[in-house]
Amino acid sequence: MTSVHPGRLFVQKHGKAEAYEDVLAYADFLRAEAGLDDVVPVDLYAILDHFQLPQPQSLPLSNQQALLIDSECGTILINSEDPAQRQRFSLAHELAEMLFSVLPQWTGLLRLPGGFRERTKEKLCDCVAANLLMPSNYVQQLIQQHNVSLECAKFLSDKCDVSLTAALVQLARLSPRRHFIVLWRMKNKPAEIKKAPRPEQMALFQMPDIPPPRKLRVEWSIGSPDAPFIPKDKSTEDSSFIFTAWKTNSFSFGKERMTFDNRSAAWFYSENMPFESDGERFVISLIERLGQNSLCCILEKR
Amino acid sequence: MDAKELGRQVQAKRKEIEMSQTELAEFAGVSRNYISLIERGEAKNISMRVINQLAVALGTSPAELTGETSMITIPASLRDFGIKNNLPYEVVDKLARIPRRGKEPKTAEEWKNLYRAISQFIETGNE
Repeated sequence: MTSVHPGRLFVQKHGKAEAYEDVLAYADFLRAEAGLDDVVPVDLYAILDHFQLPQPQSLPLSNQQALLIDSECGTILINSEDPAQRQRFSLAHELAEMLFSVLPQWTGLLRLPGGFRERTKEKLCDCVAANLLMPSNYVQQLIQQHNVSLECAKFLSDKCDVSLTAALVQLARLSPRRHFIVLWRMKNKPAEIKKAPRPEQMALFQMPDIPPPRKLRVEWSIGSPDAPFIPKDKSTEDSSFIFTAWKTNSFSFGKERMTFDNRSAAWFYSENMPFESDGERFVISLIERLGQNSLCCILEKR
Repeated sequence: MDAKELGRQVQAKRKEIEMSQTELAEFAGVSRNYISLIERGEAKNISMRVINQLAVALGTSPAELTGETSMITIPASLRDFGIKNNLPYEVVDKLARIPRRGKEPKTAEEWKNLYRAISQFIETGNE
């Protein structure tokens, strides 16, 4: 049997893939076409079988998680050195790439797959992968029952067979409140690194070798549509629950006033989990910007 | 193919990356006089092989040099890797275009590692 290109079939049936919502609908389309409801964990191989796409090939890939080596036949390579859950997410991401492969690639002289910039396209593919593995209906029901929390993310991660980070991001994205996820890393701001004296300058002026102090800073963040804007490389205070989690290497949580937008402080509730990767300690935080209603909820819970 | 347009594009790209005619000739495996001829739009019957080599050396696509379609940028590190290993333009172009999930290789060495891992899939006419 010959394979059916899922991206092409989606465009034929859906009619267009121009807006974010169109692209995100592709995740529901893939499950529905394969006869899968919102049952989790989603069987990606049932989707491949349905479209008669080849099984992904697993091999060590240098610094890459996956490649769509042949977008027409659906040949996907997955990094065999990645953890199983990441391989699963990468496969879902490449299935999303198959949609973009059939959309117009150029707008004038610019390469804009489907009319989106490359970075936007990558983020959209991640969103489609997340919606494919963690159906939005399922996640929204979960949020209604359990609220958005680290505990809820662990449950989602177990049920959908995805990483805890992927589950946290999906919960924050689909939250009806102002939730967001931040990955914190101890580092300098890029500007501090640029301004740091070079060795030859130090020799010339005999300047002391003082590296600029590192702080716990935002590596990346993602959140619900109403979440506040979090500047990349923004630092957190040493007195914060976030920094405490990093310093003590233990889970921390609590409500405190913080400033993220360099203008005014606001109340936030955060749950902060430290973890180590390649010998470096990070903190991943689930944070909610609190308003009057949210504050009441937290007070009631206690 | 318009020889004048090709000449203009080659010269513009070469100047953009501050490369001399001699350097370009060396990278592309042709003589400096031939580069000069191409840039003046006076070269006749330029082969696709030469156009491909010029494109790799200049970090662009043959289509952009000939003005036939839109452009795709080939990273300098990939261009260096392609030149050092005499890779055909099609392979370099494919490496630049493959949709992938992961960090873009930043050095020729990283491109080499990626190429080693996937060469069997992009050289056997898998597409």
